[in-house]
Amino acid sequence: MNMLMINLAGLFVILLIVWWFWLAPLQSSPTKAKTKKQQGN
Amino acid sequence: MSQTLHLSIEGMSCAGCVASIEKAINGVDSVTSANVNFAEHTATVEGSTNAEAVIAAIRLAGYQASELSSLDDTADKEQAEFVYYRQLLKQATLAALVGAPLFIAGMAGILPPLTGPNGPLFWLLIALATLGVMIYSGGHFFLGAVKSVRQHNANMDLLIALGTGTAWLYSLVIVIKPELVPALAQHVYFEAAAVIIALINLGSALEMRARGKTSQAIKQLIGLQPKTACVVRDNKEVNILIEEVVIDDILRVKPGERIAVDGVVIQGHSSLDESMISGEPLAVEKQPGDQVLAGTINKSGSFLFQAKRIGKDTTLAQIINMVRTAQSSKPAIGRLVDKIASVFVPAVLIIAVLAFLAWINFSGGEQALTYAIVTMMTVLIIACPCALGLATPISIMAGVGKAALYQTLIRNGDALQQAGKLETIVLDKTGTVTQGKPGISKMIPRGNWDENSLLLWAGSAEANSEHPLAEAIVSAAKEQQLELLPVTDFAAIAGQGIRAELENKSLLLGTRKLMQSFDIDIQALVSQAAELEQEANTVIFIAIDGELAGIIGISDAIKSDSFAAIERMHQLGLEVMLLTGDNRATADAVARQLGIDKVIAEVLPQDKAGQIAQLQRQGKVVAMVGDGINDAPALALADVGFAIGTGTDVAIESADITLMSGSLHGVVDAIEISRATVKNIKQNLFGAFIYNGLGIPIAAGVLFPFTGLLLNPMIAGAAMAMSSLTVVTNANRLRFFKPSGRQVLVKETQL
Repeated sequence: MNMLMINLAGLFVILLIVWWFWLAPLQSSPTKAKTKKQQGN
Repeated sequence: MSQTLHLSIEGMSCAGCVASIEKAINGVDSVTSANVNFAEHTATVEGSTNAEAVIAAIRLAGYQASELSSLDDTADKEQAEFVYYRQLLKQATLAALVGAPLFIAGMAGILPPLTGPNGPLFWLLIALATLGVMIYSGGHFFLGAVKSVRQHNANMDLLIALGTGTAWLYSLVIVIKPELVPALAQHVYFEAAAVIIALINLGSALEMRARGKTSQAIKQLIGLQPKTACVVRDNKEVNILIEEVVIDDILRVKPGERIAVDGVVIQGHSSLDESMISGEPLAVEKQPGDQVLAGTINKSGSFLFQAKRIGKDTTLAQIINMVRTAQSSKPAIGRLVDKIASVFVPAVLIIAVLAFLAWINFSGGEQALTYAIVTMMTVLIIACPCALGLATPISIMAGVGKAALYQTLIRNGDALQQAGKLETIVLDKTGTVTQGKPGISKMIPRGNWDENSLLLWAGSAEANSEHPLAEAIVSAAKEQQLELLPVTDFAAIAGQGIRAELENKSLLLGTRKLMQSFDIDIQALVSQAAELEQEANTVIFIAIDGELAGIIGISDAIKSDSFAAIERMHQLGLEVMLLTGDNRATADAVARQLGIDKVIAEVLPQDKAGQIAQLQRQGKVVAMVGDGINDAPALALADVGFAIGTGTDVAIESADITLMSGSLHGVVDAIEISRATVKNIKQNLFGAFIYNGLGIPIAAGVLFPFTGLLLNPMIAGAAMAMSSLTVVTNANRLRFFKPSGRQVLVKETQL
C-alpha cells in the first residue's frame, strides 16, 4: 500500500512537471501570438 | 521608426531565463526581434518601440532592466558587479564555515549520535544553523526558484533549491521524528546542504570574474572616448562633460588629447593618430576642412574643430554599437542550444523523480529511502544548464571582441560562424586589392598628336564622366594646368567608354571593344597596348575623327599588404579569385603579381552577383570582398560579405563584416578568429553535454550495481560549480588568440 502511494505520488509529480512547464505555456502561447499578429496588422 | 535598444538585465541566474525574457520582450508591441545574451546579461531589442515598454515587460517577467546607451560608461555596471561578487564570496564563506567543520567532524566520527543523550538537541541546533545558512547564503536560489516556477519556467535556482531543500527537510524529519524513517536510513545531510551552497556561490563568484574579462574588448573601445571636452563658448574655453557638447560647438584640442566628437577642423593644423579607427599606423595630417573622428589622438599641434556628429552618431559610437549588437547575437548553433537549455531543467526534474522511484522500488532493504533521497538530491545538484547556456554566447563575445581589436567589425554571430567555413575568397580589384587611386602611368600619342594635346582632348571629354579612370585623366590634365575644351556632345557607353564632340571633331575614348564597334583601326598601337596591359595597366584608346590618336595607360598601385594577405589565404587552404570589370590582360597581370588562383575579368557591374551565385551553385562557400556600390549585391549574396571600411556606405551596409583598416589581412584575421571561436564553442558544448550526459546517470546511481558506490551530493555540487567555470575559462582562452602574422593595433597600453 505504502509503495503504491509513493509510486502514484511520483507519477503525479511527473505529470505536474510536464503540465506546468510544457503544456500550460503551450496552451497560453497561441493566444499571445494571435494578439501580437492582430496588433501588427 | 525601427531602432535598436540595448538593455542591461539583472536577476538572470541561468540559461533558462534567456527564453523567458525573450518571450516577455517579444510580447511588447512593435518589437521585431529580441536577443538576450546570458553571458553579458544584456538584451538587444529591435523595433519601433520605446525602452520603457520593454523594461516594464521584463519587470513583469520578474527581472530588472535598464537601458544602456552605446557609449555608456561601464563603470557603474562594474561597480555593481563587484559588490555582487563580494556578496557571493561572503555568502560562500559563511556557508563553508558551517558546512566544512560539520563535514570534517562527521568524517572523523566525533559528532554525537542522533540517539545519544544530547543528540536530538545538538542536531536541532545544527538544523537551525543550516537554516540560517540557507536563508543568508542560499536565499537567492529559493527566491529565484519561486520566481521562475511562477513564470512556468524552470531554471538552475530551482534545481539547487530543490536539491538543498530536500537534504535539509529530510534531515530535519530524521532529527524530529526518527521513527518515520527506517533505522539504517537515519542519516542527516545538513553539512551537504551548507557545503553545496558554499561551492555554488564560490563557483558563481569566480565565473562572474571570468565573464568580466571576456567583455574587455568593448570596454577598451568605450575607453577610447574621452569624458570631457574643451569647448569655446563666449570666447572662453571651458571644460564640459562630453554629453553636454552640441552640434556646431567649437572645440579646442591640445596635443596628446583625444578627440571628443566627430567634426571638421576650422583652425590650426596637427597630425592625428587614427590607428584605433582606421588601422593606419602613421599619423595623419589634418588641416582646416579635414574631418576628425572621436577617439583618435592629437599628436602635435593645437587646433579648433566644429562638432558635426555627437553622442550615438559618432563613428566610434557606431562601431561600439555594432560590436555590442554582434556580441549579443546568436549564431544558429546558439539558438539550438537555447532551445535545449529551456527544456533541460524540467527534464532533469523528471529524471530526479524517476531515479527516486527506481531506488525505492528496486533497491530493497531499509536503506532504500536513503538511497532514493540521495540519488534524487544528487541528480538535482549535478545537472548544470548554465554550462550549456554559456557555451555559445561567451565564445561569441570573446571572438567578436577579438576581431574588433584587429579593426574587423563582425555584424552578427552567424557571420562569425560562417566565416570559418569559407572555401573561396572572391576579391574585387579596384579599391580592394589595389589602392583605388588610379593614375596615368604612360601616354603613347600617334601621328600629329603629342602627349599634351592628347591629354587635353581626353581630359576635356572625360570631365563629364564619373568613372574612376576618367578622374585619373582629368586630374592629370589639371595637374598640367591645361585649360579644358568645351564639349558639345557627350554620351557614356556602359562598360566600354565615352563618345564626345569637341571643336567640331568626334572623339571616342575607351576599350579595344569600343574601337572595334566603331571600326577604328588600332593595329598601329596594339603591341604597345599589350605591353602596357602585361604591366597591369588599364589601356584606354583614343580616336579622333575616326583615326587612332593614341593610348593612355592607367595603373592603380596594388596595396602594399595585399600580397602578404593573399599568401595567408593560401596558407589557410583557401581558393582566391579576382572578380573585375577590367580587361582580362590587366586583371591577369594583377593576379600574376599577387599569386591569385583564378581571374573572372570583364564582368559588367550588374553581373558580379551572378558570378557569386554560380560559384555557390558549384557547392562552394564563397566570400566576396569589395568596396564599391557595384559590389553591394555580390556582398549581400555571398555567404560572407566583407566590405572595405574606406569604401562606400552601401557596400558596408550590404556586408556582414567590415574591414576598417581597408587591408585584406582583415579577411584572414576574421576567418582565423572564426575558426578559433567555432572550435571553442564546440569544445564548450562538447564539455557541457558530456558533463551532463555522464554526470546525471552517475548521480542517479547507474554505477552502483558495479561499484557499490553512490555519488556524494557535495561532490555533485563541486562538479556543477566547476562545469560552468570551465566553460567560461575555456572561452577566455580566446582572448590570447593571435591571428597568424599580425600585430594587434589597439594596444591595451594605449588605453
